[in-house]
Amino acid sequence: MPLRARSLLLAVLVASLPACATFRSYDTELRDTLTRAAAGDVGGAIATLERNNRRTRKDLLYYMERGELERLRTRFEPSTDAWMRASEQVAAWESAALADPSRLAGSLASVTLNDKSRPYEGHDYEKVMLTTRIALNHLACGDWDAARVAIRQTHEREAVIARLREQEIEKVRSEAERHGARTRIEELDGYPVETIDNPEVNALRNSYQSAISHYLAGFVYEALGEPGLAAAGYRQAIELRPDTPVLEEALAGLDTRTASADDGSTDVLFLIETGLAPARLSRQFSLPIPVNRELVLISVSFPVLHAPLAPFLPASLHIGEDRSWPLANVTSIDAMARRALQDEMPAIMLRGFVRSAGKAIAQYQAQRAARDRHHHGDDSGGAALDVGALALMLGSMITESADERGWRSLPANLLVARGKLPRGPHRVTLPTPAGERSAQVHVSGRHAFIALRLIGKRLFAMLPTVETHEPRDSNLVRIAPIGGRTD
Amino acid sequence: MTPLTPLLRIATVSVLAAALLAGCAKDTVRYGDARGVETITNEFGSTDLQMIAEAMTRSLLDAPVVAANNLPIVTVQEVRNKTSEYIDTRAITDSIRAELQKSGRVRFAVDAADMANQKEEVDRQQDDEYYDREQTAEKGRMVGAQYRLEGNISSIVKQAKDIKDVYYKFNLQMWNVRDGLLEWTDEKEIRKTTTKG
Repeated sequence: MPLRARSLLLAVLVASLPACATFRSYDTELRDTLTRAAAGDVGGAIATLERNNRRTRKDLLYYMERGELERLRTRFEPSTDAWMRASEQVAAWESAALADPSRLAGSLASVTLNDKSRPYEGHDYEKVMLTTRIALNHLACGDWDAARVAIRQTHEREAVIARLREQEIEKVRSEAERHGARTRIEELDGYPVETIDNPEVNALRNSYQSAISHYLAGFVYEALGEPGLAAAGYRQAIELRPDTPVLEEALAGLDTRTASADDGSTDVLFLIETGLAPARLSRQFSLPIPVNRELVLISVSFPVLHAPLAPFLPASLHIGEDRSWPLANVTSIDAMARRALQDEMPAIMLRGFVRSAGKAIAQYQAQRAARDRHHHGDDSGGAALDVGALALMLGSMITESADERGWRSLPANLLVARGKLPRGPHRVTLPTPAGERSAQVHVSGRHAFIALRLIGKRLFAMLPTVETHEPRDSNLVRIAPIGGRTD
Repeated sequence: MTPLTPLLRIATVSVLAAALLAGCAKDTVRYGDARGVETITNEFGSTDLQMIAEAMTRSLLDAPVVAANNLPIVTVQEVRNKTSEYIDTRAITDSIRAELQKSGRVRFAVDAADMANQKEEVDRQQDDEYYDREQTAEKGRMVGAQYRLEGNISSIVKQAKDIKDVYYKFNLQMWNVRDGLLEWTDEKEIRKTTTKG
């Protein structure tokens, strides 16, 4: 077989190996799933997710989304099972990355094809949110000790990520210098820099630590009679989200609450989750690439963030007829996702630079070789190289697409309200863009936790309950007892 | 023949060798010295806990209130965590209590955190007819502590580009419950500095 034909065959084989991942549009896959979920058809959303993930060996994203959808229909056991599978994959990533930090900067496939050909390892905030959400499921089921375990895992995961990212930043910086690559987003002509570089995003300590994870840790430790650990949780939450009264009050009142006897009321923490995490969409931008000692503008795909729903942040929560508790937005996953992209962009740009430089040089050399052949009268050889150059260009255009993957069913914002309620049933009402939505809850014990999720116009109550028979368009959500913590 | 062939051969052998090595790679597990010095990170760790517990126990056993061999009855209250780190202060006081108890020179009364369990057990024995009435624990027979131990741990963290310095201060106090006098107090300081390199 002639060399050219063999090279072409090899190129086709390499390109076809991860073909599914290379051409996958995660935004397209998830749009239908999330539209169904937002309309209340969670079963249909799960069926869509399954249709898009037919392979036996499911990836991290599948388990993350599946866990979230199961949680929406209050099937906490399968939700936790799915998230535990996802957590196993994250733990495997942690072990591998700690053993070999060089794998963090990228793999050969992402350099030759695109970032979608890399195995999905999850964004840092997703890895931390995973164990936080497992804790939420345990709390919904009244298993505070299991929630404590998940919270401890969150602390450990944060520490591992902190160590790894420090090493990655150094590696990307040195690699960029070695390749002479441009890794500042300002150098991408037309990139919407303000979407990932703005005061809200820059105010975050990093992309993965959230006030809600630490506030929840404080609440659980307090309920379990561990004020020493609770204080650290509340203090971390305050540092991550300064000037938020509900967080400051939790720390200021900790000693008093711990020392006081049971007065027959319940300390209730409401968590209100709104919206959906932003989508990463692939867009093309011009990147200056050195070809034959000249800088040439090459079109390269990079992810941009897009919020699927207009943000809605209810100001207060009404309990019964006479109580109105202010809601504080303590964590914006939307902002965390933007910060994650800001932090990831130097590495994404480095890989895009190396990939595009390789493609541009290959095209340039093929075109020059074709010209030489034509110049020396070898028209058939020149024509073959012309075809090769064209194939390279087309292949480059087809495969050039940014990685759109991300845990899309996560909420965009997490708000909390906390206070004391008499034990027994209460009607909770939340203002939404489509009017008020209510849930009937029953609190018991010294501490209770209640989570409500608002997606679009629909309110989901994350209460441990059996099947309900409400009509699909009902505004009334479930009635269920909340498993309280009594000691 | 083209020069690709040997290259391809080398690449194939390398890939197979790497796959083989990866397949043979095996995690190893070994037991270590639980009291060995741990310096993996400069966050609060097992060595800090052990250093604090040992220093506080030694100091407390030399305190006049304990050295007089009066077998004081003590209750352990919460050690306040004033740091931003998840330090299990209960683990520190548990270690101190275990060492003091082993010395045989201090007795401990049930503390506030365990009071609910204690009451529950007394109630259970009282309410259950299967127990021998003459041997069941009676209400009103518990002994109150003469002294209470309480303390706090605080930290100062300073971080520059290539260096991180953490200073911990652990303070423990023993108060006389009857007259409110401070009978003993001591501090343990720990400084940990990590330099990148």
